Amino acid sequence: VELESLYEKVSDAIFTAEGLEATGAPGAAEAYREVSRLEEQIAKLFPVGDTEGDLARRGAVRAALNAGDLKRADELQERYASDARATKDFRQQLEALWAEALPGSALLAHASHLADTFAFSALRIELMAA
Amino acid sequence: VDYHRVTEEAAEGIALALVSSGCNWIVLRRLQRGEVADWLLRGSNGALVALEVSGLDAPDNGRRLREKLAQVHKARFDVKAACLVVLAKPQASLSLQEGDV
Repeated sequence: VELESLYEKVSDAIFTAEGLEATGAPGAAEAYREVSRLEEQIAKLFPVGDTEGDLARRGAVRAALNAGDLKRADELQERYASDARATKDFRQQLEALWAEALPGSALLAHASHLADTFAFSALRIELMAA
Repeated sequence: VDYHRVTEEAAEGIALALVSSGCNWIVLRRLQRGEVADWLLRGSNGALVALEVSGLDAPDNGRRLREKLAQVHKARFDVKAACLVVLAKPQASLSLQEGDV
């Protein structure tokens, strides 16, 4: 029953988000955040490797990207990809979502941000060690 | 009114009604744009069905249906299907008044 309800909600939410995006109306980003939250809830009901579960995991990351919430998309992808049961193919599908959703410049900016974050973390570790 | 969207939504409504009544498939959920199909359904034998739907104003000799089948073929579900709904029925009217032909 829970899945049935979530499927109904996510169908409505996708319809709303894509409609707002298509017409350029305000609220599309928040609507995609709601899609991402619902997809995440659906994903929790299925193990990694399950067809419906993997569909929902892709959906959670895809909707976060469409919402412009790169931090959430990154966290979700990291969580799903780090699952020991995740196949190489599934990890590649998640990575491909970034290229689909973001233009090259935005992708580079995100990569740069990650590199800065990583470099800062490494520096902090070095300072702590010293 | 976004004419393209209206056409697609009308096609989706008709397609879902068709597969529901004609194939006994149960609609599970809509898929996000970017997936290789529009809808996920469950067949009467429990199989997962990926359904791609398209709407046209006029027949195109099956070109669009072939394109959609090729698109949905990439889906990793038990059954891949495409449904093309032609919304405008071709109609020709000929009216003759009295006279020589």
